[in-house]
Amino acid sequence: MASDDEPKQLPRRGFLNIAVGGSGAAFAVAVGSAVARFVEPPAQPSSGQAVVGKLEDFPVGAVKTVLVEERPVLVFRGTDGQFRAFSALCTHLQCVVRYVPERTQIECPCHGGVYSMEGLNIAGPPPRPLTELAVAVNDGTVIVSTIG
Amino acid sequence: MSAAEQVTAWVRDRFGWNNVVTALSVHRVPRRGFIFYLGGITLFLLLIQIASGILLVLYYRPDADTAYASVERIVGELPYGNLIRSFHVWASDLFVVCLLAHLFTIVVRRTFRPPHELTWLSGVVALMLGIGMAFTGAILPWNEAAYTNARVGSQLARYVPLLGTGLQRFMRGGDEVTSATLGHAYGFHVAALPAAITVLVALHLFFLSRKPATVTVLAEPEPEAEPETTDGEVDAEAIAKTAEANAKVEVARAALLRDTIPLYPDFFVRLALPITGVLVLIMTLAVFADRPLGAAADPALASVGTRPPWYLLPVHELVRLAPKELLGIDGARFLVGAASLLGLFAAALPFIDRRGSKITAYVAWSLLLVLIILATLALN
Amino acid sequence: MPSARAVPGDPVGATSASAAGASSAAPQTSATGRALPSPIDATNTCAACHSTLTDAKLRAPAKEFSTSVHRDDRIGCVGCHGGDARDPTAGAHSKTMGFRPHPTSAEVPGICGGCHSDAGFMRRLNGRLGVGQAALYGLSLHGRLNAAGDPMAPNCATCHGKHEILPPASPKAPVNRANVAKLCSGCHADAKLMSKYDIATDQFSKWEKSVHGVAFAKGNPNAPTCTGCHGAHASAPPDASSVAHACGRCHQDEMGFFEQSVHSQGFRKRGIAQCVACHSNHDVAPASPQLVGTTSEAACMKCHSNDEKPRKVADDIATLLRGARDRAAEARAAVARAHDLGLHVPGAAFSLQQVTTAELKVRGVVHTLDPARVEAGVSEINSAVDATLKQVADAEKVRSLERRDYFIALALASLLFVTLALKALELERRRRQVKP
Repeated sequence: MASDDEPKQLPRRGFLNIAVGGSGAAFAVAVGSAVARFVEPPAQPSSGQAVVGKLEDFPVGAVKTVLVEERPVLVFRGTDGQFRAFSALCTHLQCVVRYVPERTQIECPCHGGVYSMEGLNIAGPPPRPLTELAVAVNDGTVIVSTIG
Repeated sequence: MSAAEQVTAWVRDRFGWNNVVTALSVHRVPRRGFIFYLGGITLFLLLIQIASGILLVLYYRPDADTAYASVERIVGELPYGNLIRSFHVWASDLFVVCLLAHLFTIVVRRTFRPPHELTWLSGVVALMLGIGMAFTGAILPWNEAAYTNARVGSQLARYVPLLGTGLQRFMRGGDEVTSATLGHAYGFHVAALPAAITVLVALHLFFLSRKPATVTVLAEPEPEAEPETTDGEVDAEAIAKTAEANAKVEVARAALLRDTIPLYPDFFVRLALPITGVLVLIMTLAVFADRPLGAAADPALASVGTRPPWYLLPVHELVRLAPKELLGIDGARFLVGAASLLGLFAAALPFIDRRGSKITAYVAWSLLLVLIILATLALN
Repeated sequence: MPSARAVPGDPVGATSASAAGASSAAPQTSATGRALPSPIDATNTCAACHSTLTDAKLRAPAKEFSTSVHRDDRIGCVGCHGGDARDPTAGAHSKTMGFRPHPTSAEVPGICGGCHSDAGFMRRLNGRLGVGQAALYGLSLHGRLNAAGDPMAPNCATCHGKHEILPPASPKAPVNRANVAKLCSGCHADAKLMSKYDIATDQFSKWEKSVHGVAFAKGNPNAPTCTGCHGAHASAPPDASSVAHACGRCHQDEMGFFEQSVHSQGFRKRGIAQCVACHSNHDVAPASPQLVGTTSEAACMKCHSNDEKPRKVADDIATLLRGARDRAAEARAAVARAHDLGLHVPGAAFSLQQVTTAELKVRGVVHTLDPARVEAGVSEINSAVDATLKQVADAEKVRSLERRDYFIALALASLLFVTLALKALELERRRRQVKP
């Protein structure tokens, strides 16, 4: 406990403190960066809705198939500028239907089911019309909701 | 002084750092023994649960229609979401284990005895709240396991005498497990219980600081005053006795200093070691041991699972094993009632076993054995 | 044009029947001279008397008729048997009123058709029913044999029942869709009966095991039973020229593709039944890549076992299909594996659906027997499979990145642990030194 021990102790104690603080800080940064990426707002606003594009991506008369939460959706923009969206899964056996411009109708490639532009099942085996989904335009972005 | 030193000095002054350090250093803890770290580890687990829970609640949606989908989204789409959720799930099991282990060591070492009654009581209440948090948390994902846990767990509540049906209705938010159950669970898990448990833990630490559990505070021995003599004569015997007494205190003090370490900084630094270990353990489990989400809850699919959460398995087994009737009362009610009485008895231990007899330790060990047997039986 | 058939309420001139017992409301007559009870006076005295008879054979019809669709007072017993329903005595069996107790088998279609082919009449009694049944029946083999006097040939009552006729929508009706197969096989599975006509008797048992029969048993409303392909009243075995149209009514795409193939004209020229040649008629098996190719199970080898060019085409198509099937299985296995690992693969469900859609499309295109077109279809399958595999790989990559980050965190935590341990040791050392 002589005073000549002091100079040796102080730098070591200081070094250790810095070592502990440093590795603690490094660990905190590693964890913190993961947390930061988690907390950063994701591209999709929330589940139940999906941004499918900008208003400019849908000129009048456009028909597009987009993905909303892993499900294909047909989005139409009619001549009146209004949007309509339908689940693109055929109500017969869940094949993906497509829009056929030559006949202005929606057709299913699997068993010949046919739907009108209103989603009504007009021919073939489908027992029900296509499920309609709500479309909203918010600030120039087109958002499709998954809840009817 | 350098800038760093100035800042440090400022912080220390505003926090009254020196007083804090002195107060903490006065409390001492045995140098050896892992069980003294259990309380700190449990507290740490509570804190990381709160932290990871806050992260999860940023994206969780508590409605029965959307809860499962929101958890699926956290796990599947958000960066590190899977890790954070896995972490939270594993840490919750570990938290309950540590809570029970901490309680067990206190009972077996009879640390509950006076003057630590209030520390013990606040700890018992905190334990109940902690288990409540684990239970309500398991309901939130609204997957099949959640539904089963909610249903079977609340079914067990029915057998508690007197409170039975009321307790079940309270747990379920109604007569059946419905979306109301989820809503209740969410409110409790995210708001009510964390607030309550924080208060209880604060009280627990406060009482602990008032009446330190392990070792008495290092007290300065009072040097006995020189005995006065009426006639001015020095009483050599009296002086020798005083010196002897003082010497004994010195020896005790030396032993204390030798066998214990101050809370700050020694114990805290040492505590950081198992805490880092626990953190690594949970991280490893979260990455390599999957806790799958399973399918979404479907109340229409009658009883898919029949087991409650693991910490309720002994009670579950009691109900299963119960004979139809015992002493004229429904067998299951009788057994659960007996268990509840035992629980109340245990809660009142400081008032019953004031001296901390060894019998308590033996009973505790036997009870642990019984619980393990019951739980093992329930798994078959 | 006034209706040829009178309905109560129509002002109709009575014919011979009106003379006896004429009241102010003259007995209505039909174009065939049969009298109908007036709606006000009519009581079904036939049933009232017959239900009290001791002879069970005579009692039964009255009971059975009480549930029939024809129990409407405007039709009643006299609608088919004639006679006078208002006469409570045996006078009801009046030959002058056209009483006919036991119509022969050959007479039955005429009796039923008398009303059921009369559009004006049916319009008033049941506007929902069509009126072509008797005509169709007359064209069928059943009808022609019956007209020729064959007592074993079925008439209307054989299938629809005599007195207890239920509407086809009723689950108990023998002609209800659910019961049709059992009805037809009642005769057509009877070897003794069918030997006279040299018709096979295994259709029902074959159909039961077929894709159609299995789907039907599962309650699929689109699966055909006997009438679905053969029709009901004009039941005819589709002959060679019309088989494709029977199948093609539902399998439109396949029919369309088939008509573009070399087989279409070739089969027609040689009088080969199109779809049946490869798929059989009653025991249609689930379509599988095994049907095409050069193996012994392949349908191609039934005719082309020694033809070089067709063998090559069959081989090419079979190879393409097998490859596609394996790749699709690969995609599904990858997604299942990811699922088992707890990986959430966004977009996988959609990609798999696209794989399924592409597979279903290729099944139709195969009927063109054009390897180039089949290859185009298969490449669609492949691109969908590739998309799926990429999504799974991306999810696995994220998982492996998480692992990497874990090891980094582990290393840092270990470093922290070590420095803390050193600090603790240092503190311990200093405590020891401080001892007085």
